[in-house]
Amino acid sequence: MILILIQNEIEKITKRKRTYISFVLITILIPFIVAAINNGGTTLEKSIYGQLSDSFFFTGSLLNGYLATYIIIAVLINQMPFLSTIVASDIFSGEYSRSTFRIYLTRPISRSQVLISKVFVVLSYTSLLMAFFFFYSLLVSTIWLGTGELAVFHKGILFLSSDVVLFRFFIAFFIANSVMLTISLLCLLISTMTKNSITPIIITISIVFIGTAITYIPIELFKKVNPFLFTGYINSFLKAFHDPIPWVHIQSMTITCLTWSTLFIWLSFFFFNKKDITE
Amino acid sequence: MKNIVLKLLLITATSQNLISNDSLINHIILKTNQEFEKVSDFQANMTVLLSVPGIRMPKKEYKVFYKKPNKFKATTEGFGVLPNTGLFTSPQNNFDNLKDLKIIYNQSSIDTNHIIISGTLISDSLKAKFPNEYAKLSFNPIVEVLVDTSKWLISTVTSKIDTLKLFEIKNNYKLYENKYYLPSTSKVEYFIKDMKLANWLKNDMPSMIGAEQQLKMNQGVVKGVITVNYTDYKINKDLPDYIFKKKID
Amino acid sequence: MSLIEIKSVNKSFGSLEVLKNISFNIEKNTIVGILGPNGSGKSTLMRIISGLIKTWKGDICFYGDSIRLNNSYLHSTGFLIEDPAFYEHLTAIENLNLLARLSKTPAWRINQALKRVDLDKSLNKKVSQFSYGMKQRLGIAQAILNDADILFLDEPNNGLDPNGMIQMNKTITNLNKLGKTICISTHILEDVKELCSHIIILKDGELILDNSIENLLMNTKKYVIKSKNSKNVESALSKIKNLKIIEKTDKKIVINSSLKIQEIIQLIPHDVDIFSINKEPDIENLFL
Repeated sequence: MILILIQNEIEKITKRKRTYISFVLITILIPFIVAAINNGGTTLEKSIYGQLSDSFFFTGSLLNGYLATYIIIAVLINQMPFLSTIVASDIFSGEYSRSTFRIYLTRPISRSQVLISKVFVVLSYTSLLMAFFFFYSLLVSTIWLGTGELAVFHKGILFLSSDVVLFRFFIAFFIANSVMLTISLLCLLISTMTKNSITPIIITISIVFIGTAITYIPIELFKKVNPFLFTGYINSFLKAFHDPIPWVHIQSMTITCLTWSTLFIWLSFFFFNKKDITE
Repeated sequence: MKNIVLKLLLITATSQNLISNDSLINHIILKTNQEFEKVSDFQANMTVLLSVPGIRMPKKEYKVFYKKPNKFKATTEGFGVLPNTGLFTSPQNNFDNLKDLKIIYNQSSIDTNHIIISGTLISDSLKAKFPNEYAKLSFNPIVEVLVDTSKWLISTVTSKIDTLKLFEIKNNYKLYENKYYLPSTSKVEYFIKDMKLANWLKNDMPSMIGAEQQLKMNQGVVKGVITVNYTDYKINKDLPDYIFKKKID
Repeated sequence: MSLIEIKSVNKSFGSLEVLKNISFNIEKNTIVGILGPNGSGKSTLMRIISGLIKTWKGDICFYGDSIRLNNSYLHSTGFLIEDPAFYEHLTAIENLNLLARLSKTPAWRINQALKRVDLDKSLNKKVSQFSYGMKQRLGIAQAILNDADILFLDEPNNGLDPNGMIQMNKTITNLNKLGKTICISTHILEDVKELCSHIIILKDGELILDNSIENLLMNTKKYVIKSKNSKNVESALSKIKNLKIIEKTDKKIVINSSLKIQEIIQLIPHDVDIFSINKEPDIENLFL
C-alpha cells in the first residue's frame, strides 16, 4: 500500500506546474552566474591571492569550473530553503484547503501510511533539487570554465588538487542536503497544521532566519546552543573543503539533523493522526 | 692543492678574529659563479610542497626551464604557486645584493669544507614595500651565505636581523652527467610574525565564504617552508629562446 | 444485525456540542435520509463515520465490528462529503485512478462508474474545466467506485439545477435497486419524502426523530390532494370539520386531518376532479 500511496503522491506533484519552478529557476540562473564569474575572473583571482604577489608568483589560472561552482553554492545556498519548501508547504495544507482529503482519506488507508508517503516524496524532491543544484552548477561551470585546483579559505588559502575536488563536492552535497531535508521536514510539519500553503513557508523561513542569526551573533548563550540547532549547519557544507576534513563536525551535523528530522516526523504523525478533517 | 691553501688562509683569518678579506671573498664568489656558469641551460621536473601559514597547497609538479643569464620558465597543469626568491639565483646575483661582505669562520658550528660569507642586504634590491624612508633605512638584515668550498656550491643562505631569522634557503646538490652540480632539493624557510601574514589575506572574498576561516592571528613568529625537489635534469641542451617568451604558463 | 449501528455518539468542537448522544441504526438495502437544518450535525456525523473526524465519543459498528478497531470497513463504503473536491490539475480518470488504486479497484470499474454518471465522454478532461454539476456527478462516481455496500451522500443535490436533481435522484434510486444501502443527508424535505425509506432528524445536535417512512405514513394526519383545479377542492374541503388546509397551489392542496383517507374521499363531491390523494409523513413541524 505504501508504494501505491507514494505512486499517488508522485503523480499529484509531477502534474503540478509549481513543482518545476525551482528547477527552471536554477536552470536559467546558473549559466548567467557562471558567465558573470568568467567576466570577473581577473578581479576574482586578485581578491584571492593578490596580496601574495610580492612573495610568490602564480602559474595558470585559479578561475575554473570548480571555483565557480563553489562560489555559486556558497552564495545561493541560503536561498535554497525557499525553493526546497515549495512542495513541502503544500503537501498537507494544499489538501486541506482544496478539501481533497474528503475523497482521499475516506479510502481504506491509514493516515500513518499517507504521512509516510508524503514524507518520502518531500525528502525525494528536496534531495533531487539539491542534487540538481549542485551537479548542474558543476556541469555548467566545468564545461564552460574547465577544471583545476580549487582555492578555498580555510586557515588562509587552501588549494585542493583537482583529483579530490569532486569527492569534496559530494561531501558538501551530503552536508547541505542533510540540512535542507531537515528544513523541508519542518515545513511539512507546519503544513500538517495549517490550511494554506504560504504559512508553512513563512514560518519555516522565519525559523531558519532566527537560527542563522543565532549562528552569527556572538553571544555566549548562542554559542552554546548553536551546535544543537540544525540551522547552525546551513553553511557547514564549506567544511567539506577544509583540510583535514572535520569528520567530527560532520558527524555532529548528521546526528543533529537526524534528531530534528525525527522529531519533526514524529510530531507530524502526532498532529495528522489526531486531526479532525473538517475542511 | 688549492684547498690546502684556502684552509691556511682561513686559519690565519681565525687567528685574526673575523677579518674581512676582499680578495678571498672575491675568489670564493668567482669560484662559485664559475661552477654555476658551467650550466648554460637546463630543464627539469620540479615538485613543490608549500607549507606556508596562510597558504596550503598539495604537492605540485612543474616543468622548469632555465637559460643563462636569467631566463626562467615554469609550467604546470592547472594552477601553481612558486616563491619569488630562492630559485635559480646565481651566486653573483646573491652577492651583488649584499654590501660590507666579510668572512665568518666558526669551527665549532661548521665543518672545514664550508665557509660563511656575511653581508648586509642592500634594501634597494628588495622588492619589499616600506612604509616610509626611515623604515627603509633602518631595515638592515644580515645575510649569511654558507659556501661548500669542496664543490664551490652555495649550501645555505640565511637572512636575519640580529639573531632573528627572516628566511633560510638550504640546497642539496647532486652530480649530474658526471659534470654538473645542480640542486636536488631546495628548502626555503620563511620566519615572519603572524600578524604580517594575516595582512596577506586582507581583502578577502565576501565574508560569507569562509568567514570563520580567517587566519587566527597571534603575535609569535611562524615558519613557512617551501620544499622543492628536482629530478630528470636535461642539461645544456641549447634550449631555444622562444620557450621563455612567457615566464609562466 | 444492522449494517451500521451508531451508539451514543458525541462530538464537540471546543465548547460547542455538535452531536449529543446520537444513536440509531441503518438497515441493509434502505435509503436513509438524515434531515436537519444547517449546523445540526449531519455532515459531522458523516465525517465521523468516514474517519475524517478522529476525536469523538461513543461507538459506531459496521456489521457488528467497531470502526475504531480498524478502517477495513471503508472497503465497503463510499462517501460524498459536502461539495465534491478533486485534484483539479488532474483529469477525471486520473482522479479516479488515484482513488481506485487505494482500494485495489480494477480499471474497468472506473469506466463503469463514469458511464453510470454520464461522464464517460469527459474522462480525459481536467476537473478544473468541469461544471459544478459534472463535479457532483464525478463525486458520485468516486463514491461508487469500489462497489460499496453502503453509500453516504452528503447533500447530493446541493448546487444542482432541477434537471440535475432529477438525474441524481434517479441514480440514487437505481443504486438502491442494485442492492446498495444509501444514507443521504439533506436539509431538503422533498428529497427525503421522495427517496427515503427511513428518516432521521437532527436538530441542534440532538436526535429528534428516528422512524421509517412507513410508520410515519401510518401515523400521519397529513394528506396531499392533487387535482385539476384545486380551487374546487378547496371550497369542498372548507366545509368539512376536522380538516385544516395547510398549503395550496394550483394543482395541489395539503391538508391536516384526523380523518382517514377513505372518509375524506367520501366527503369530497363527485363532480370535483381529483387525481390523487396520498398520505404524507408530517415531518415539517419536527424539522422546523
